[in-house]
Amino acid sequence: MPSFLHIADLHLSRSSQDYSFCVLTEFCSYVIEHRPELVLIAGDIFDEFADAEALRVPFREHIASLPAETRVLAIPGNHDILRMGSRKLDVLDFGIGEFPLHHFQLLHGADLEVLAVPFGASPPSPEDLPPPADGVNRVALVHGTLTGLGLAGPEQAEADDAALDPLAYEKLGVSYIAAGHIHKPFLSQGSPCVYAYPGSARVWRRGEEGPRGFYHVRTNRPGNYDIERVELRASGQYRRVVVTLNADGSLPELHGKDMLVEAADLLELVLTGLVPDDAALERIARDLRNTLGREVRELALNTDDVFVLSGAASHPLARGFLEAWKLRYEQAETEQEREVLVKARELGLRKLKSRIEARS
Amino acid sequence: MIEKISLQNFGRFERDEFTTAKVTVFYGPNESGKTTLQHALLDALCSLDKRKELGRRIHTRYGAQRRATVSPEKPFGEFDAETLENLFFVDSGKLYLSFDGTTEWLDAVKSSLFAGGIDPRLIAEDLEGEASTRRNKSHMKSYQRDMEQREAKLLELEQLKAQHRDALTEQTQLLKDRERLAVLDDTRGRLMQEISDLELLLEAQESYRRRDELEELDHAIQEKARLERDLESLTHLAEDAEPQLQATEARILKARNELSAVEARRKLLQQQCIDAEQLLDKRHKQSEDLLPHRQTAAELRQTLDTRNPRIRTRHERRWSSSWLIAAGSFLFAGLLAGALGLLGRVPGIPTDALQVPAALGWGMAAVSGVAALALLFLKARTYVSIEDRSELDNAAAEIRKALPQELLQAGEHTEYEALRDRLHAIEAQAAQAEEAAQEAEQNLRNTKAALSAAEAEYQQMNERMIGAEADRNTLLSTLGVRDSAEYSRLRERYRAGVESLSLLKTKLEEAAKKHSIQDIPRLESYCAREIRHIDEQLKRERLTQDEQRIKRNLHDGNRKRLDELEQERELLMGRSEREHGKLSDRLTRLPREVLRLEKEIAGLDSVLQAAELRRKGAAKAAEIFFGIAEDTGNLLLELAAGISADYHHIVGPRDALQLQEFGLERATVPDRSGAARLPEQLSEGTRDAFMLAARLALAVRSRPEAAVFVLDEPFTAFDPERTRNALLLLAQKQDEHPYQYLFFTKDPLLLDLLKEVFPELQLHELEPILGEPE
Repeated sequence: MPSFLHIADLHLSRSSQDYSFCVLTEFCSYVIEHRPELVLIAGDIFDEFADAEALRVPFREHIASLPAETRVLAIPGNHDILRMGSRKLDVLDFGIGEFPLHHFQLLHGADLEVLAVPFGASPPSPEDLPPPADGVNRVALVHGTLTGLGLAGPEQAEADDAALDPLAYEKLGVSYIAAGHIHKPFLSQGSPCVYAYPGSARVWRRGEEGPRGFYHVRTNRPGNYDIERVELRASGQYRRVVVTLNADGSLPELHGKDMLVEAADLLELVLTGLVPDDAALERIARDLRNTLGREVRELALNTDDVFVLSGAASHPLARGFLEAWKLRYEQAETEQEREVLVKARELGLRKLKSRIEARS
Repeated sequence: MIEKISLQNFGRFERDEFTTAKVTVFYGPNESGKTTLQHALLDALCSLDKRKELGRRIHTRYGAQRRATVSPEKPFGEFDAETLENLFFVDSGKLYLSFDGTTEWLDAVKSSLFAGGIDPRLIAEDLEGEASTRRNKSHMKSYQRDMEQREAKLLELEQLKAQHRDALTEQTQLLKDRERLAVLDDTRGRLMQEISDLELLLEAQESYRRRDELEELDHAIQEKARLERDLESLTHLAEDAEPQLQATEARILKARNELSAVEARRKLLQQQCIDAEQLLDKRHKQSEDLLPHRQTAAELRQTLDTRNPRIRTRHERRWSSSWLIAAGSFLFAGLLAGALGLLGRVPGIPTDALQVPAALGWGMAAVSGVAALALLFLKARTYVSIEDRSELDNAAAEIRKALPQELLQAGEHTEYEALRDRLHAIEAQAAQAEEAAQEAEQNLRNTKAALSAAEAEYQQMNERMIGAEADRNTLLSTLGVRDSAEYSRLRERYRAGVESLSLLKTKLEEAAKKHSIQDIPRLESYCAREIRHIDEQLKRERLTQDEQRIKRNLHDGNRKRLDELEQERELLMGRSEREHGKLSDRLTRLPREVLRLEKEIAGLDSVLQAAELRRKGAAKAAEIFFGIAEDTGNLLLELAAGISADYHHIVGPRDALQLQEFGLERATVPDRSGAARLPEQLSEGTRDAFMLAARLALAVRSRPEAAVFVLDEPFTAFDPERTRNALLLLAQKQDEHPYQYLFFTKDPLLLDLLKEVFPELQLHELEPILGEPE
């Protein structure tokens, strides 16, 4: 019984070339070590079409390094054709064994069938596709958002093309939908069909929490999938840390388990609090960029919740509030309590700021 | 600390300077410029807002040309004029601070003491408002709206999902329709093939029928030929010898009949002869039998006629029974009457009563007796006639003796007459018998004659018949037949043949016309041709009528099924076409709409979550601020303690005063007797002491760093001891804080005390300017 790897959303780009290719390298090492029969790449290999053109050669080299008995099957995602204009993917050779670009294709393996539907193409209707033979697993390779599972997030600006209907695929006899496009990993092992998003293979933007990875799927018997999630180290993680400035507007010490970061990480520091003036804030930002900023792949500073208030340090009410707050924050036990307290701090400071400024 | 105050064009001071120390005293009578100096100080220390009352007042009073400065310029930083005037200017007339009501400066003072000028409670309440989940709040209204929108969208999502499921079901149905259509097409093909087969089979039967017809015609033609041949051999029979033959036959028959009749007659006559003979014999015999008797009878008759026996009558007297009875009756009656008369004589019976009846009885008895005797003698014996038939009987007996019984048969009573008649009868009978015999003889003779006539006739007839037969035989041999039966048969055959032939001819001519053939020979070849043709074409077996019926039913059944099938097919095809396009649209459109809705819902979710976080955060922040406000309450107690201490300092040991609320409105101050009183209830001196303490406490907390107090006749209500205490308190405050005091007074006693308490004071003595309005 064959086993296959299911990976998606590599978003190889020129702007993060080293990083994104590190991830690809790690993945390829895994393939070489474990020798699965099949590798399925569910779209968004590149961050945009121009990247596809520019990075075609190194990508091909990576693919060429894979063992010969491993077939590679991929489909383009919405990013692969982003800003394509009048040019075409067709003319580019990526070294991928099967790379359908415009229409669905049914590709046969030993005991596995893959129904590959490139982004923007329609799946076949049931009368056009015979059901899979006895004992053969049919896997769909698609790129988009499966509807009805609550996967759609408001932050994605979707084209309508991205809507995928899981029930339609079930009707086509598919028992595993290998999907891409949603960057948060998702796995639903219901029957009759498994819905799987491995998540983005590398951290693409802020908010993509949790380790990155892909699925190694072994099929013991028809319709039964043993799915193992394999984490990628080279992709690092997105980490979000909230830093509350001291009452006098200075940066507290950053240490402890909150600050366990790795070189590949995308670190978002959310600063909250009062500073006496913009210059102070600038200084803090500069310090952070020079210290933490050098330890991680990317440092994102979020200063939306920092208030500039002159005389803040000396204002008795401001001081009193911040001190009282600090006591409570140190006593907070759950993440939820801390989140509420951070919000409370922001609101309290806002009110203080508006009243103090109204007085003067 | 202010070191110098300079005034120019300020009221009465055209150009003046006053140096000041930690404690400065301006000593002078009324209208010596104390108030002006105070205003100048205000003007110099604060930025007076001309819009506000104080600023307007000073501006109006002193004019725009005024100038008042202090050196150094802003020794206490920014000083709010009202705070300065109200809190730091201690004026006995205005010592009393009304803590009731809200004066802006007092609020500012109060809150600045503890919260840098912002009342944490106000912030807390503000935040509480934002944390509130009361429906009338605008953030809750929009939260509610968003919730409702989310609910509505969730409902819409469910509906869309249901529609999508329906569409998928329809798709499955359409696929099934398609499969069914394929099956129907298959069946249709098969049915049409079967129908076509059956039609060919039934057509073949038609051909068979036609072939039968033609064969029939052919047979008819053959038959016609045969008949013609047959008739040809019988043409000699064409001419009808029938009547002739019939005539001879008739003759024979007639002769035979006549012969028979004669024969019969002869036989009859023979029989009659025999009968007549017999009759004759009989009659002869009868006559002979009667002959002797006839003679006897005649003789007797003659005898008797002569004798003439008759009936004789005699008369006898006889008793008549009836008259006997009558007489008897009268007798009896008389006896009875007698009895009755005797009754009167019986002893014991009253004789009176019986007198009459007894008499009557005797009377009657007498009468009856007479009657009886009369009857007896007169009527009882009557004459009766009696017949005497003895003569007759004797005659009868004679007859009977003479003649046989059987001839006589007489009755009883009139035997003689009867017998006599019988005698006549016997004679007559005998005569008759003779006549009869003669008649019979005659009859016999007649009959015999008739018989011989009949015999003759018989012969004649026989000859006639033989003749007729001979004729007939001749005729028969001429005709060549054995007998007339055979002739009849032949003739019949001929006749039948002719008839059949003519029928056939008609039939064939009709058929020829029907087939548009000119004549019968051509018809024959036509039939032959057609039959051959049909035989070549016929590929199916022949069916019986029953089989044909079955096949026809099968055919009709198939046709019906085919129609139904066509209907179903049309229905399915129509549906398929109609639905397919729309369905594809729906199956594409619906997931997109579902996705869109999911995004909108996710968006609303995050908005709602953010709003909730905001509310919780606001609640938490409010909590913190309320905490701070409470702490402020604690500070209030501290304030009370402080005020108490100062108060006690002035008035001596007392119970502690109580501050109920932050604002001093309900401060209760213990008076000398220990009762707790509101400030306005205190005596003036005690109240002033409290007010001073309060002012000092507030002032100290409001500006713990440097400030200046302006004290204008502050202790008018105090007795000297209190005054001293107050001054000592002020001196103590100056040790703790870098305060500057400027005293304005006209009281020499106070001046002395001041000099005592503040040895290093700076004194300025002011002279009044006459005529200057203050």
